[in-house]
Amino acid sequence: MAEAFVYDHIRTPRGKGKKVGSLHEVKPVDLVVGLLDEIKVRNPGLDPARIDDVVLGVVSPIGDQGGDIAKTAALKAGYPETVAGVQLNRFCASGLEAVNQAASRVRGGFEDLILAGGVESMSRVPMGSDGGAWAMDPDTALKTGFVPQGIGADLIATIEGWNRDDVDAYAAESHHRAAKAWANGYFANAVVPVRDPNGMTVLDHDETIRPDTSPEGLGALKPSFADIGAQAGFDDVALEKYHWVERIDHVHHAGNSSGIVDGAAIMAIGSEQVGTDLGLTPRARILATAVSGADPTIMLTGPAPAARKALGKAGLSVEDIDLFEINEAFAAVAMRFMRDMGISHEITNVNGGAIAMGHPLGATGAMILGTLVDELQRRDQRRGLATLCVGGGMGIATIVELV
Amino acid sequence: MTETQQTEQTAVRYDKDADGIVTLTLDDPTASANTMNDLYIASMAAAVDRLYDELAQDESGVTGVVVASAKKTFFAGGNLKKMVQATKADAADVFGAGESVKAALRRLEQFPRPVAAAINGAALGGGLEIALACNHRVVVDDPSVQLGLPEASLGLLPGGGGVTRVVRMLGIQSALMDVLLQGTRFKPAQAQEKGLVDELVATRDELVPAAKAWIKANPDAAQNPWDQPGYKMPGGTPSTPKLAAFLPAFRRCCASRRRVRSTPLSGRSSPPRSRAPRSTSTPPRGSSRAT
Repeated sequence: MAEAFVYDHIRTPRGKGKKVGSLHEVKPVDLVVGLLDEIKVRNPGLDPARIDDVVLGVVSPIGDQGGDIAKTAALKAGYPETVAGVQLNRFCASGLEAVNQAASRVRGGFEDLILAGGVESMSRVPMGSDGGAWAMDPDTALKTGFVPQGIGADLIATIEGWNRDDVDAYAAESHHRAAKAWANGYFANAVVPVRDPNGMTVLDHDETIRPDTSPEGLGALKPSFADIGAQAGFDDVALEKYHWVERIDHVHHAGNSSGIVDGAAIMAIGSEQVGTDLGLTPRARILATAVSGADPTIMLTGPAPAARKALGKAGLSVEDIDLFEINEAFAAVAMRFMRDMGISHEITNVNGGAIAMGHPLGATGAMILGTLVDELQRRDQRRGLATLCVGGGMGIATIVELV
Repeated sequence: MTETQQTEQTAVRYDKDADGIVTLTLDDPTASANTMNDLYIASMAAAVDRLYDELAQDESGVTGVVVASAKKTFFAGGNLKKMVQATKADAADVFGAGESVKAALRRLEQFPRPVAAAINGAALGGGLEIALACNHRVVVDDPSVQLGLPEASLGLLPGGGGVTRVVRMLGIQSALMDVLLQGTRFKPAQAQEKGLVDELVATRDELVPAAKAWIKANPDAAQNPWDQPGYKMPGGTPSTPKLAAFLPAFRRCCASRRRVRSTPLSGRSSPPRSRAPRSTSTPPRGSSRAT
């Protein structure tokens, strides 16, 4: 069987996903075009005519982000007319889903070179603005036991016995690690500054990291989901299923949940042959990918089953993995994944995560996989696993091995 | 420019009358016409700072603001001489100057007392942009007085708030077709009919009194429509499907008329980056570059 290699990966910095955020002024299509330009510059051998497809995850694919932004960006970047583009949506997994689909297509031998990643300008197209029956249609929501994700995260913490101090300590550590990684230049190879038409820098760093974050400081923030849990009846919906839980302890808030940000990422995924043809050096091999699912009401426990499924496909065990990246949708999600897998924080999210740097929904999966590849290389280690929790209770995982 | 020079020389004079109405008189001492040069930028910023300072010290210290001109024209607009000399290397400086112009006008617009423009002569380009940042515009009804945003005819765009405010005032379609893309020049009566100005007076001597009378009659009229809760852009925003379908057509309208080159000043009409106070009214994406 053919193999799928990661030849390069780049991302934009992540800007605050609000009107005051630095990337608010940049259209999402231009976030992608900047990366499509840069990947050619960095890889002079990368002949765009050899690219079969551009696959981009976008979770709210409407407005600025609608109309198949992947093909639109390829056209705007001046790629050959033969380069196709497709947008996909697997909620928060979209960026990794794009990579996994690209890897599968390359591994299957039907295609040779695909740019995969994602984009989300959450400041311009707010989360939830694409609607959907699951969350917005009462009949569907009721029949599927829908509750907002934050309630699920709070329920995880409650079940696991993690109190406010525990989740806040995790969140503060995310900021400290991200700040240290930036200070040491660990992201320098991956992050491409966003520039304006005059070439002036709009943003060259992740905008939401606060190196001085302390658990004590976070302790002052108000829980985000207590009111909606009580007033909209979501706590009751969740507790109907989790009837042995007395009440949900609402421990999550803006400071220990993933940041709302704008950003984009792409990875070049290709066959061995295309690398030889174009003189590209493979960075890593994609060993296995998986999607799975768990209870949709608690919603955020899908990463472990997905990770186990991917490990099984790769014929590996947890001990064979050197580093893990779990998207920090909420502190309890990452903590739960570590507990489920029996892994330590020492080898998980070693350079921080979305609590510090933000979670640009459609792009995050490709970003954390890129971070994983770079960190494995820096540490001279071999294998890594990236995973995200996903709406609807899904989980996704990808295992990479350095070449 | 040093601090001392700033205190000695100003292009925006500051005078307060017994009713607490401050008149900001545009009067560049170094030129026969007012332009958006460095002296103007520093002077306007200082004048607006002083307005806020006075109000902070005494809530009733300022009851309103009139922006007037001591020159034959109201304000001549951008500094074209400087613009044609600018190269790519000057991008940061030119961009910074544009941001400063916008930041001061945005602060003036947000000043919590009514602000009226008394337009005594041509207000083209930057001149009209200053007036648009006010809450009310009074113009002398002299057909030789021209108002408009002719930037597009020079390959520029009204980047000092002109695009942002005209689209919010008239809606995107009318703003583009009637004002921005053709660089239309209006006589006072036409400008009033279009809604760009509010009030005409017969003689120049009546301008400032009329502006002050409006301020006294409308002490609460300190917010432009687009800063008021519930504001909706006439005809919809770029994300309104019906309008969005037309947006590429606007671009063709302009492109077929003339090929317009972009200059460093054509940069962003978006809110100031970092240091400056932010505009809460974000410009519609794409429209500023539709030229």
